[in-house]
Order: sequence, then structure tokens, then C-alpha cells
Amino acid sequence: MDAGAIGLLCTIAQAWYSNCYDAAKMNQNHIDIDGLKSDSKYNPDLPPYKSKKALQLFSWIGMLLVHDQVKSVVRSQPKILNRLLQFLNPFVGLQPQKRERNTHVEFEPDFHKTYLVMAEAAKLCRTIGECYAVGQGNDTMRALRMVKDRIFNDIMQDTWTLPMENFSVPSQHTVHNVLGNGNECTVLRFIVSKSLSTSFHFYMHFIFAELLKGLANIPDMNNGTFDFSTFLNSHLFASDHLRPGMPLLCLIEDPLQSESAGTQN
Amino acid sequence: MRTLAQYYTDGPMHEYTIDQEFFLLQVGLCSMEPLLFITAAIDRYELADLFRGAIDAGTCWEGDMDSTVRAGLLADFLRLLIALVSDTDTITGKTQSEITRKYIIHILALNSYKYSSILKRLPDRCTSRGSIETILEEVADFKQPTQTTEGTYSLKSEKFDEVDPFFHHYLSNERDEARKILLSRAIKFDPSNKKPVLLPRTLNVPQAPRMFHNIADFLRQDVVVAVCHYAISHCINMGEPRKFPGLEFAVAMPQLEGVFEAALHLCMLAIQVDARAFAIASQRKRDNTETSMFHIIWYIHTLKFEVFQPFMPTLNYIINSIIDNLPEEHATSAREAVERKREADEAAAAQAPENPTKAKAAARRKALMASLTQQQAQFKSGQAFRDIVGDEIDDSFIEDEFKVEIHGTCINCQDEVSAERPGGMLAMLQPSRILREVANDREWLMESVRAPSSLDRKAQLYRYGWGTTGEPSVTDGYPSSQLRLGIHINACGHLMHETCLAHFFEMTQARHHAQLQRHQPENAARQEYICPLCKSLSNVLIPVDKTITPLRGPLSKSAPDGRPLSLLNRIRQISNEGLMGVSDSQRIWDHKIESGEIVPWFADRLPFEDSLDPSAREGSLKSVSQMVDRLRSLTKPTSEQSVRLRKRGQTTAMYLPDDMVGYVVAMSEIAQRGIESKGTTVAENLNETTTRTIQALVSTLQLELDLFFGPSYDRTSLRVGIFARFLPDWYRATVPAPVLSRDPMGLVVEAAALAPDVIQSVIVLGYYLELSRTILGMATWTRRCLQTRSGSASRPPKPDDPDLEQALGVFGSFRGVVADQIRAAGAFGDAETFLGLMSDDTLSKLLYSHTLPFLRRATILYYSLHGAYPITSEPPPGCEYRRLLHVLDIPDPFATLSNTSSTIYPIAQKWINQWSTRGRTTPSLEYPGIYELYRLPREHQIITRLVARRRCDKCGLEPSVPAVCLFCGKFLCLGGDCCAEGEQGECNLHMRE
Repeated sequence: MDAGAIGLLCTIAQAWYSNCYDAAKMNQNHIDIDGLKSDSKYNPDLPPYKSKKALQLFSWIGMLLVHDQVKSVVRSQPKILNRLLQFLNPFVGLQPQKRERNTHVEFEPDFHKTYLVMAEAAKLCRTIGECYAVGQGNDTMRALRMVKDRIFNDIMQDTWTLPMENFSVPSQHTVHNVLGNGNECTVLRFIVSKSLSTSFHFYMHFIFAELLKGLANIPDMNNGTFDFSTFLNSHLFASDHLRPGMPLLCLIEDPLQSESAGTQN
Repeated sequence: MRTLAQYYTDGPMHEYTIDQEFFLLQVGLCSMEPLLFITAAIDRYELADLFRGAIDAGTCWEGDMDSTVRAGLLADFLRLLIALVSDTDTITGKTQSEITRKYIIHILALNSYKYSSILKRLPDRCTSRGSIETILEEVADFKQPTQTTEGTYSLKSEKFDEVDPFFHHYLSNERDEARKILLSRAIKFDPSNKKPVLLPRTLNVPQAPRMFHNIADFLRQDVVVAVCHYAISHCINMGEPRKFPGLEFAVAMPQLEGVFEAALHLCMLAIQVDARAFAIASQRKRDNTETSMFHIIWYIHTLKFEVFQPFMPTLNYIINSIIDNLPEEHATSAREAVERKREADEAAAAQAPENPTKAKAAARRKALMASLTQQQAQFKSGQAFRDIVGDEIDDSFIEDEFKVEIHGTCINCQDEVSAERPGGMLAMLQPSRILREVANDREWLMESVRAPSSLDRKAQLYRYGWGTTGEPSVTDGYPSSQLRLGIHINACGHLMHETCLAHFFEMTQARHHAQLQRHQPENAARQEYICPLCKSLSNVLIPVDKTITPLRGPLSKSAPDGRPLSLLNRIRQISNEGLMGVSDSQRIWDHKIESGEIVPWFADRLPFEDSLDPSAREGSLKSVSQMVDRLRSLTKPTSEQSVRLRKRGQTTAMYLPDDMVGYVVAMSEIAQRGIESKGTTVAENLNETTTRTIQALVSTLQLELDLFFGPSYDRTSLRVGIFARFLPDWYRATVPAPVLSRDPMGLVVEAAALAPDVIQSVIVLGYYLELSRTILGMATWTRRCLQTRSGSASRPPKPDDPDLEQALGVFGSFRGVVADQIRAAGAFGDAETFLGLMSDDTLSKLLYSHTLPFLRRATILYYSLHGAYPITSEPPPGCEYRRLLHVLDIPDPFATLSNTSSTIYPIAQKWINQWSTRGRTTPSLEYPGIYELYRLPREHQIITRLVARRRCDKCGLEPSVPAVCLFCGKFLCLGGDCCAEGEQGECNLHMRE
């Protein structure tokens, strides 16, 4: 088996949500699988988001991935995971709300457009991550790196996934005297209550979380020779040319925003 | 955004979304410096100003964000920290089954739920990856379903120990509810400890060297004490909101109870992990001041404000833990302080009154007596009234009456519903035609004869119709012409403030205006709304507050042996009361119509019309009046639009004690027929919601009188009027309309609302009134049914009825009594002819069956209002009738009516005489058996064969989709245009008939 079946399903679904569902257009030439073009971002204002037709595709992909044999193939063939990530990545940071500045309307309640997609895509993310709940640590590490790269590429605006008009490259600032005089901590600069980029669509994070859970199941990781913090900072995030500690701050940034956004708005 | 966030965090998808992100936060907490992680979180919650210096200055509350929102964020931030170390299912590698078990325990800790409701509340993976039945068997007890209620699961008692009020997936109101439940359980198991502490559950953290073993390490560090220090510092002024330092930047001090509760819980978690480290860190002075966290906690501990009282046990626990774990050299002053406090408390306890509650009650009693005296001065016979009433008032009753009773929590704002902030039960008020009056048919008469002797025994009959099993086909469905109209009220049991409902209803209307194209579940034009909690359709708010008029308790005066006063003595007492308290006997008939109904209780009148005291609608009764107005705005059109369906004749409008309260009680009774009673009587079978609904409806009648008469109106004449109605020629030379035309249950409801202290005597009178009505009604009904040539159809043998023999004995020798009454009535010709139509057994069984419902309803009403029976001793075993006569203390009917010197005998004779001279309207009888839907054949193919070529009675065509009304058996066209009128098909039209 190769990525054929899963790849085909991903292509069909991607074509649908890219508004290229016309049979004549539905080939890979019309679909920006790698997200290299500026218009490759899915647009929830397009007609495909008004129907539930393609939701079943998420379930079908998920149903393929629950079988142990398929899981084994996914673990051993990174291209399958890559194809799945290619399909899901453009959903990241979907922003159905329109924040009207200088008026009394803060957000337009258009989230229904993406609500159904979110449910299915998030479910698929967890299923993908669960493929690595068993198996070799190397497979999981490789998968973690693939997902991590996509997360940071998006955050650092190396891709078109997060629109630049709403999202910006994270900057840092130092918070002084919090929890005691003399304390200084450098954290990311972000104000949820004034942000234009609040979204709940962080599918790469969901997969990353599930992969980390799988890591905890590997016996070698729990025998005392493995330090999780060192692993994250020195191995997984080592190749990223960021200040020490910055990758972890970036990793928890979106979860923190999600936790606090509900109360602030 | 808020709605999206709510879907994201609380919706069914949370295990795929927010839970994954929550796990990443736990990863961050394990991998980052705790100070950095917590500072990043504080910064993201935009709370940095609240966690650094200058708390007293108030400038930390400055900014664009509303202070209420900021306080909510602060509480949420603290709860997030708690959850990160408490909710460790993922990092400890719990199996899906263990996670499901935890969810189920926390769901059932709040309430009992049926299986489908549990499934709805569980996340997707809990149900899609295996059955939950094994877990339910382990953690829950199953309550078997009955005919009217579904089977429910409730949490086993020992499993409550596993409930964590700070469960990550609880909503705020669920968290409060869980905390209350756990506190009440703690008090129940250890009554000596009135202020238990809810300690946090033991943290379940992976053992080193497993991954994530350091998740709770931050609780050992100074950073957590710093967090608690700042959070608690902001709560110091909770008792004195005017001193809130942020008032310069906020309209008012925000609610900080949630912050305080979460901060104290975080303290307890830190104590659990490393009490010594926490104790030492709590002594550290911060921000170059002389204040440590211990100082702040100690200071709050000394405050006497009410708002801090619920937290005192937790504060005590934390203070004691700190002192116990401080090194000796640091603990000296703190220990001395604790000792001094303890001594001061003991001294205060010694000087305090023996029982503060009693002292308060005494003060209230004094105030009440002064108020009563003032009211009495307004009456001419004030002193006499004082002599009668003052002696009878039961101290404990007064205490109960003047205690600020909390009825529950408003599901909208979570505040308590009490007299200070009135509210009511969400309920659906609608016209109903379910109550069955007897059908003039021999077969239906035989159904009455064959009714079970004890309706509180299991008596389910599985009978099939269409002549397939020998049952007479005429009894397959009840004739729709013999149904009585009434107002039925069905409450879901949830409470809401009147002000909250007004706001909620405005939102409902706004939603309707905003979404014109959508099919809304409720019709706002009919005042309908959806219960926000259980989604039940509702349209009224039934007030749960009691009347402001002092009433006497049901047993305020009883015979020396503890039994209720005998009827004779009660009549004498009321007579004296009338003589002393009612200056003009004609006042007894004020505000009543000829047949005795009280004018303000008619559905066609609005409470503010002709009100004797319009000012009563202001002040404390304003909210109540709005609730009553809302109810009246529905009862009035219902009454007006249903004139053609009613058979009353005497009045043109619905009378609420009969047609609303009496109807609801009747429906409750009918629903319980044939269901095994778990207690002494059927009344104990009713669920709490039904009981509370009946209480609230009676209270509503009382409140309507408050609104009409005002609080200062002397109700003595109304009290006396109840008995005057039962006792013809008592106060009036010319008799009013015959009391036999009144529904006895309505008279009992009137008594329950006006004079609960005499309700037992009214039940006795009402029972004999019902018996006399039954005799008169039977005289007409049995003639119509039995004087036909055809005999009764053959029937299958009757199921075993073990109580039949005893039941027949109740009226075994009653033929003579019946003959006397028939002769005295003079309207039925030869009594012997009537009695010759039936055997002694049939006569006694019919009398038995037709009067049993009254006893059951009176018992339900009495028990719902007072939670006990007039007679508390164990009733004799046997048929239900004897048991009910015993608990209601009603004398044996044969011994009473065959004894000319009994109290009742002359009264019953006068009822008959009054009836024979005034109107002679035959009382209607109700069908006494178990209500069944239309009987269908046992096999479906028989229906198919029989209706295949049948034509609709209305259009004469063969319906494409034939249908049968399961209530009356009418053959209908379903979904066809042939019989439709406008948008309504024949089924809907039939329902309206």
C-alpha cells in the first residue's frame, strides 16, 4: 500500500475546500497541494463551506487510519503523513469572524461556516496522531519534526497559511516585576482583546499533542535516561534559529490564546 | 466569539480541540521554568497589572478592560493552574475506560440521569469505543422506570469521594452545584462538623522518572505562593465594596468570590504537595512591604463579613497547616495568635445566647405580634380576633413563616430565589381535555365496575381492541364527547427570577425578530420560551413565594390525643370565630358569586381589576404581580376561547381552584393509577417536581388574594365562608345555589389556599359531598346505561383483585342509605326501580370506584402541602379506600350516614334538600378506571387488512396514509389535502376538536 487511497481522498477533499471541485479541474495541477501560492489558503466564504457534502471524506480517511496495518504503513512511510499534513495545514488559522474596528460590532458570528469542518478535521488530527501511539521512537520523532516544522513555518510566516493582514511574526517583550519585584520574563507580545488573529483552528498543534502522547508510551522515554525538557529544547527545537525558550513559548501561545479568548471577548 | 469559544471548549468536540491544547500547556509547564510559564499565562490573560505591586493604589484595575471581565479572567487563570495539575488523565496514560468512568462520575454527581442523557453529556470517544454499561453498573444505581417516569442512574454514595468540584469540564454553575452537594454530604455524614472543608483530591502525578513527573513541581516553589498572595490580596475588600481601590476605574467592585475560592483551592493543593515549603513561602514579605500572604489570610480570617463566612473553614485549614509546618522559631507569634483567637472564640461562645436562632425567632415573633395587634386595631372586633387567633398561633409555625426561605437557584443568574428576590418555576400552561366524564353506555359502566379496587397496586392491563380478544369494541377508545376541559400546568422544576425571565424573554423575542426565516421552537406571541437548562417548552412562571398574609398551620389546634379536631368541634370553633370576627354575617358572601366561588379566582378577571388595594402591587409584591399577570394573560384567553367546550353551566369563566389547581391534582392522580405505590398512599409516589408544582399553584391562589385584597384585609369572613358554603342555612335565610353543584375538590383547594388549618375538616365534608354527588349522579347515569334491552357483552375474565372483597364491604350495606337519599332528592321517581337495576355488589363497587379518586386527590393535595398525613399512625392493611379513610381521619361512611345523630347526617340531608329545591342539576361523574389509549389489535396485519379499503368519514375517500387517533379511535387522513384546512391537516384539526 502507498499513499494512493489516502492521497486520493485528500486530493478530493482538498479540491472541494479549495473550490476546485469541478471534475475538469480536479487534478493536482489546479490544486496547490504544497501551499506554495498565496491563494492556497482555504477561504470559508466560498460555497463549499456552506454544505456538508465533503465532511464524509474526513471520516473515510479516519476510518482507514484506525486499522493497525494502516497505522504501521503510515508510520513507515512519511510521505503519507506528509500528504495528510498538506491537506490539513491550509485549515490552520481559519478566521471566519470579521472584526469591525471602530464600530460597536466586534465580531460577526460567522463561525458556523467552519464549525462542522473543525469537528471533523480535529477528529482526523487525533486519529493521525494515534497512528504513533505504538511503534518505534524514531518514527514518532520524525513525525514530530515534520509537524513541528509546519507549526513554526506557519508561525514565522514562511508560508501563506496565516494571512499576513491578521497574523504577524511573533515578537517578544519583557514583563517586569510580575509576581515579585525584580522578576523579568521575556514572553511573546500579544494582546488577545485587541487581536485580529484569534482563531481556534490549530490542527498542527492537535497532531503534535497526540504525537507527544505517543512518545510517552515508548518505554525508553520513561526509564530515567530521557529528559523531556532537554529533548524538546536541545533536540526537537534545536535546529530552529530562535532564542532559547522561544520555541516552547510559540508552542503554548495558541493554546493560551484559546484558553483566554473565550472570557475576554 | 464567545459563542464560538463556548462551542470550542464545551461542545462535543472538546476532546479533539481544547483538550489537545490543554495537554500542550501541561507539556509547557513540565518543560519550562514555572515562573516563565506562569508569567506567559498571566500576560496572555492580560493580568500582569494585577500581579505586581501597588495593589492598594487601585491602578492595577486601570485599562480598557471592564473590571468584571478582568475579575472573571483572574478566576479563570487560577482555575487553569488548578486544572493543569489536577486533570492528569492524559499525562498519566489513563485508558479510555478510566476516562469515561471519571466523566460519568462527574456527570452523575450533579443529578440522576437517564441513559440517553448520560450519553449526550459524554464526549464522543467515551461512547464510540465501547459500551458504558459496565461502568454504569460499577458507579451508579439504576432506578427502575415506571409508567410515567423513565429509568434513571444515580451515583453510588461511595463514588462521591471521587468527585472533584474543580473538574476541568464543569461549567461554573455545575462547579457550584457539585461543591454544594459535596458539602451537604459531608455535613450529613458528620453532623457534628457544621463547617466541613472540601479538601482537594490527592494529585495523581506520574512517578519519576516517567515523563511529566514534574507537572506539580511548581506547587513546591515560591511562584505559586506569589500567585495566591496577589489573588487573595484583591479579595480583601469583598466585605466592604466601597473600599475597593479600583473604584476610580470601575463602576462597582466586581464579584471576586470565584477568585477567592480558586486561590484558596490552589493554596490547599500546594499544602498537599509540600506543606512545609508553602508555609515558609507564605511568611515571605512581598514588594518591599511588611505584608506576607499569611498576614493577608490572617487578616481576612478576623473579618466578620458575611461574604467571607463560607470560606472560613478553608481559611482555618490553611492557617493551621501553615502554623503546623512552620519552624519553631518562626511560629511563635502565629501560634500565640491562633491560641488567642481560639480563647476569644470560646469566650464569645460562652457569652452568646444559648441559641441565636431561637433569639432571632423570638424577635421575629415579637415583631409579628406587634404587627398583628396593629392590624387588629383596624377592625371593630379587633380584641375578639386577638383572643381567638393569638392563642392559636404556633410559635414554630411563626418561625417557619418568617424565616427567609430559599427556594433554589435561578438557572439564569445562579443567585438564590427567595422572597427578597422573587422567582418562580418555569412551567407550561395549556388547555387540556384528558379528564374523562362517564360515558352513557352499558359497557363503560361495566368498565367502572371492573376498575381495580386499589389503584395504588400494580394493575396494568394489556388489552387489545377491534374485537380480537373479546373486549367490547365500544370500549376500545373513550368517546371524545365525554372529556372535561381544564388547564394543565406541567413544570420542569427549574427556577428563575422574574426579572431574569423578563430579560430572557426579551432575548427570545429579539432572536425571533433577528431570524425571521427560521422555524423557532417556541411561539413568542403565545408567551412561550424554552427552559435554558432542560429545553422544555414553557410559557409561565409559577411563583414559589408564600403569601404575605400570616396563615395558621394545618395542625395548629388539634384534639388532646393528637388527632385533628372532630368535625363538630371544628364547626363550633369556626362558628365562634365568625361570631367574634365577622361583624356582619352578610360579609361572608362578599366577593363571592351565588354558588360560592370567590370572585378574584375567576379566570376572566385580571388581578388589578377592582383590586381593593392597588398599592399592594407595588413594593415587595411587584415581581409576584408580574408573574401572576403573566399567568392570567394565558388563563383569561383560554377561558374565553373555550366556552363552547365547557359544561359547567353555572359560570361562564374558568374557576382556577377547580379548573386549574384541581385539574393538575386530578391529572397527577390519574397518571398514578395502576402503579404500585412505594409508600403508604399514592401521594408518596409523586415526584418532587409535581409536588412542588402543586404547592406553587396553591401559593399562587394565595398570592392572587394578596394582590386583590391587599395584605391588611381581614380574611376571617372568607375562612368562615368555606364552612358556610358547606352548611346550608347557616348564615343565610335564603339558600344560595346548591353546594352539590360544586366540585368538592375545588372546595378543598379553596380551603388549602385560604385556611390550611381547617383543610382536614374540609376534606371530611368534601368526601361526603362527593358521596352524595355520586349517588345523585349514579341515579341518572345507571338508568341511562342499564335501562336498555340489550345485555352487557361478554368479556374476558377479570384479573385477580385481592382487595375486592374488602372493597365491597365499604359500601356493603349501603342500599338503604342510597334509597333514602334518592327519595329525599325527589327527582328520580321510584328509588326501588333504580336500585333494582343493579345488585348490591355492583352498587357498592360503583360507589367505591367513583369516590375513590376524591380520596386519592385529597391525599395528594394534603401531602403535597404538608409533607405528612393528618393521621400519622400506620393504616390498616387492605384496600386503598380503607387506608385513605384512615390517614385522612374520615369516619366510616356507612356508620356515619346510617346514624341520624352523627354530625354529617343532618348536613348531608340539607345538601339533598337544597339540591331538590334549587336547580336539580345532575352532578357529573368521572370515569374511575385506569386511563388507556385506544386499543389496537395485537397483530399489525389485522389493522392493515381492516383499514385497507376504508373510507374517511369526512371526505369519503380512501386516505393514502390512513391514521387512527390513539385517544378516541377516530379514523383520519394523515398528510392528505382532502381534509386539510389551510396549512393544518386533519390530525391537527382533530386535535383541536
